[in-house]
Amino acid sequence: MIKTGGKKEMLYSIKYMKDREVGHRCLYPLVFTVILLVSMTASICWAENVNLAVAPPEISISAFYNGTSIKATGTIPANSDVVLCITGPGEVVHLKKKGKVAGLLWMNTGKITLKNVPAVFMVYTTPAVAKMINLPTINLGYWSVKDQVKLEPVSASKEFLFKEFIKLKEEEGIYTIDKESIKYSEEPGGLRHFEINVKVPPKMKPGVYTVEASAISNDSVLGRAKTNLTLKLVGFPAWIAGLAFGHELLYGCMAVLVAIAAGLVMGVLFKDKGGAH
Amino acid sequence: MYLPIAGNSVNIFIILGLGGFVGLLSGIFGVGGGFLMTPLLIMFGIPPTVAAASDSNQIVGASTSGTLAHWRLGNVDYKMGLLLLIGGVIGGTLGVQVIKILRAMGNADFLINITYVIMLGGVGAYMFWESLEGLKKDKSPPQEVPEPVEKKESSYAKALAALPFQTNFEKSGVRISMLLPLIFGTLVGVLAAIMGVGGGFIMVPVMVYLLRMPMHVVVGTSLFQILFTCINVTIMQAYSNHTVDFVLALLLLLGSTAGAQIGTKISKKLKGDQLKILLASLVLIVCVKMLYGLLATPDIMVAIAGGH
Repeated sequence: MIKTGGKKEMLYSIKYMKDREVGHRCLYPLVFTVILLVSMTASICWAENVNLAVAPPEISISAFYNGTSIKATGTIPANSDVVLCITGPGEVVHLKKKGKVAGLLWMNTGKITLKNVPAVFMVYTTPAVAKMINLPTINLGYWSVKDQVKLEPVSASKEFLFKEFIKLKEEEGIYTIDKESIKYSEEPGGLRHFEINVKVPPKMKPGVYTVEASAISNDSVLGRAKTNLTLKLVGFPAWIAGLAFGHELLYGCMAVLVAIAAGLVMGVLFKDKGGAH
Repeated sequence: MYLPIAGNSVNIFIILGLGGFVGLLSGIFGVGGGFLMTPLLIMFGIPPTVAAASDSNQIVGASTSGTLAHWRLGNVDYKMGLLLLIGGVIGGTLGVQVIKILRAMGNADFLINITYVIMLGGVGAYMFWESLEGLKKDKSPPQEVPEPVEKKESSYAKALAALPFQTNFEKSGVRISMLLPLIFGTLVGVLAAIMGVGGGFIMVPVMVYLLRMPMHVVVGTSLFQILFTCINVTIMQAYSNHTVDFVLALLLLLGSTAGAQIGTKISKKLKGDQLKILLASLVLIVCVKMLYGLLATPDIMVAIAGGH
C-alpha cells in the first residue's frame, strides 16, 4: 500500500502509474502479434486442408478426339462444401446483337465485342451452394465473370447482353454450373474428401486451363487450392493446325488441290459411258 | 472426328451425309449449295466463319466432280463460263466495296436480309410458275432449248441481237453479244458479294431466262464458273483468315463429290422444266425458312459474328 503523504511519494506513484501504463502499452503489440500469428497459423492450417489434384493433368487431342472426362479429387475441411471452377484464358469475342427492325423483322442490329471473356467457365458445386454462389462473399458464379468482362461499345444493357452471351456459351457446353457431380466421403482428422467427374467437352480448345477448388462454409470461402489442366493437339490435328497457321498459302493451295483431285477421282470412279444428251 | 480449325468434333457419317446431299443438289441443279450447307454446318456446332470458308473448299471438289460429269455429257460451255466468271470477279470486287459502304451507313444487315428474301422469293416464284406452265404445255419429251415466251421475249431477243460483239456459243446453241455474260456476271457477282453466296442460284436463272441457254448446259456451265470462284475464296480465306478446316472440307467433299456424280445422272433423267420446278421449290423452301427466321422471336439475342 502506498502511503499518501509527501510529494515524493506522489511523484513516485505517478511514475509507477506511468510505468504501468507504458508496460501495458508494450504488451499490446506483443499480444496483437501473438493473436495475428495464431490466426495466420490457423488460416494456413485451413488453407492446407484444401487440397486438389486432377487426373489426368494433360489431355491429348488426336484425330478421333470427341471430348473426354477427368477426375478432380481433393480434401476440404469437414462440414464445408467444395466449389470447383475450371476457367480458360481471357479472350475477345465478337457478337451480333439481334433486335426488331420496323417493328416486325428480327435481324442483326449491331455488333458488340466482349473483351477478357474466359474461354471456358465450368463450375461444379452442390445445389445448396449454387444458390449463394453469386454472393459477394463467395463470388464464384457467372456474375464474377461479368465484372471482369469489358463490353464495347459501352451499353446500359450490359447485364442483359451478358445473360444472352451466357445462354450461347451454355448451349456450346463450355459454360456450365453443374450441381450433381460431387461425391463426398468423410476422412479422419476433420477432413472431407471430394471426387468430381469433370466432363471436358470437345469445344474446349487446346490451351492451359486453371482448376481451382474453394471450400465454402457459412457464406464464406475458407480456403482455396489451384492446379492446371492442359489440352494439346497431337498427331494429325497438330500437323494440320501447324500448316494452317504457319504456312497459310501452302495450306490453302493444298486444300484446293486435294479438293480438285477428289473431284477428279470421283469423276473417274463414276465414269459415265453414255454420250451427250 | 476432331476438326482442328473448327475446334470441335463431329460425327463422320453425319458430315459425309451432309456433303452427299448438297453434292446431289449441285449435280442436279448446278448450284454450289453454299446457301444450304453453311447454315447446316452452323447447326452442327461449326463456327460460322469456319463453316463458310470450309464450305467453299468443299464446293471446289463437288464442282470439279460435277463439271467433269457434265463435260462428258457435252453440257459445259467454257466460252460462256469464262465470260461469266470474269464478270463475276469484277462484280464480286465491286460488291465488297458496296458492303463496306453499307456497313458504314449502318444499313448492311437490313439490306442483305431484304435482298435475300426478295431474290429467293422472286426468283423462286418466277421459276416455279414458268416451269409449271412449261410442264403443262409440254406433253412430249422436251427439246433442250426452252420455248420463247410471247412478245416480251421476242422484243428482248431483238434487243439482244442489236448489241455489238455477237458471238456464237456452240454448246449453248445461242448467238448473243459477248457483253451480255460479262454484264450479267458482274451483276451476279455484286449480288453474291452482298448475299455472301457463290451465286449459283442467281446465276442459273440468269443463264436460263436472260442468256436463253438450255437448262442442261446451264447446270454444267454454272458448275464450271462456281469452281473458279470457290478456288479463289478458299485460298483467300485460308491465307487471310485461317478459317478453312481441311479435315471438315475433306469429309464434306468425299460425300459431295459422290453426290454430284449421282446428281448428274439424276439430272439426265429429268426434263428441263422438271429441273427448274424442283430448283424453284428448293429456293422457295429456303425463302420461307429465311422469312421464319426474320419473323420469329429468337431464343438467344446474340450470336457469334461471321459466316454468311
